[in-house]
Amino acid sequence: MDEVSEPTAFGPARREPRRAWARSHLNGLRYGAVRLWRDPWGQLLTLGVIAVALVLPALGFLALDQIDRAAVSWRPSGDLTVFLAAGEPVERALELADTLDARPEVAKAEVRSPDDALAELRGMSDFADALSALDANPMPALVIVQLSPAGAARLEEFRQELSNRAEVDWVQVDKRWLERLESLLDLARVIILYGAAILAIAVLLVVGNTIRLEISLKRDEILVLKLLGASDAHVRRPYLYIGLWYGLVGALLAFALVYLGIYAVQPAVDRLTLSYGAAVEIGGPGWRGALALAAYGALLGWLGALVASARHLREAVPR
Amino acid sequence: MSIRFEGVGKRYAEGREALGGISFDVDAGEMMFVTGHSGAGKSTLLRLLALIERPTEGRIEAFGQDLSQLRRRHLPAYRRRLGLVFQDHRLLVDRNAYDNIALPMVLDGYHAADIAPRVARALEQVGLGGREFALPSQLSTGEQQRLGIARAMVAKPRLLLADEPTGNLDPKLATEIMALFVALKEQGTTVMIASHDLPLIQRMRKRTLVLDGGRMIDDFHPEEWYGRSL
Repeated sequence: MDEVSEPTAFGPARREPRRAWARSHLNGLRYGAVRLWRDPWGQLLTLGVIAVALVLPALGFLALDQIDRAAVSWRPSGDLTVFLAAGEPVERALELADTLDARPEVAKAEVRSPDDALAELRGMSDFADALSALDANPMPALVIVQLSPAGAARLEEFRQELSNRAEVDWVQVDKRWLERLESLLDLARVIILYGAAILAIAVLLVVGNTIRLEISLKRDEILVLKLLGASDAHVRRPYLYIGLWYGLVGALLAFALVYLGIYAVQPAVDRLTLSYGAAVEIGGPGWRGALALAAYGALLGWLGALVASARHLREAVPR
Repeated sequence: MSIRFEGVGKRYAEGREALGGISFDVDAGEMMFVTGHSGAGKSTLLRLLALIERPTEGRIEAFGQDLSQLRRRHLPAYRRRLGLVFQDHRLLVDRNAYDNIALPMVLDGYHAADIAPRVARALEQVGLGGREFALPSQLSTGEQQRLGIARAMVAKPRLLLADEPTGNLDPKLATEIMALFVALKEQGTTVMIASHDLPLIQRMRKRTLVLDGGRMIDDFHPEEWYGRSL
């Protein structure tokens, strides 16, 4: 609510602290944008450093995300693959599947006959001609087992039990390689996070230094504002918005660099994946990624400005 | 009572004493001059009241508040109740006359619609009507001084502290500015003016503090002016 002050020599006047506060934020936002707009090339070094500091972890996380997604799509259809001994007829596989289906550890058991397995192998490899030359089908019958949560909980015990059956040659745990990959991805995630933290500190320092210079250029104005009763928050506000704009524009540059990186890497990825008979399209961060990057950049810029301005504005005392 | 000085002194780190043993009271809505030679301590006294400096001894009270107890976070609110006129004007060089004058009202959160007419009137009153878009660098020293005076008065401060406000003005303009200060005083603002313009002080016949070498050597009220000269 507006506060009405008494009439004065210059006429009546009303105070509206909340609207004045909002106006001050709006002015700060505009001031920061104008500051960057007026001299974008002068700020290029700062913006470049911020963009590089943001693009490296962004690319790292993007790569991890791609590998994670690819790993899910490469995941085999079952949790266990039970290879029957050579020469065992497919009927034994069907019997085993029926037995396993009745077990609480199993969600689903599916038989893959030697003919199915051979056909699948032909489709997946470059050895189709060589496989055709074989007199007999060397593939064993398989039972692909999807475990229930109870089975997954006693995976190793269940695998051992199946391995001990006479008709079974060996049992492959399909999840193990995925777990190893997950561990590797976790390690990579931690390393990237650590790198991102170091680079975030670099952004704070770069923005902080830029704000320090800005404050030293505006020192006289700051002193006058303080003499006239401007609060610390009011004096600091434009500098916080300058920091925010630096972070935001740096993040947009980083976003562009991410897509440039994808554009540069895609041909190499195509060559690699086609040699395995697959095609992988590297997905960009998308609008959600763009928003997250922009928010992260803006936050870092704001924080850098906050730290620098808190220190340097405290030192600006009218004399 | 608006202001009270009790045994106030100011000694700088190098040992120089700028003020010592200053005690006086000022009523709300009183207008007074502080005079003395250069280096007498006039500006220091005003700076202590504006909390630009802190006293090294004694106690200053303003509007019922002990200024030595004033916390840093309350300083801006205290300063927004003051109107300050500086010898060196202290204008914002990259903002035009209008924005310079509007600044105290903007800082105090005044309604935007109320700022424009008051700034326009303030410009008129100090003789700068039509110069609202001029930057300080485009104004003469006297005009800059008047701009500073308009800025100090526009938000109707409770206490106006003016350090040599007429130093760069011709006698006619100086008298007009004094009339503005009197009008402000009539509305309840306490006005303290540091000046060594003795003819002006004698013409105004207001309460006057006389300082010499940082000591208060005289304090006389309007009724004591009869037959006196400085």
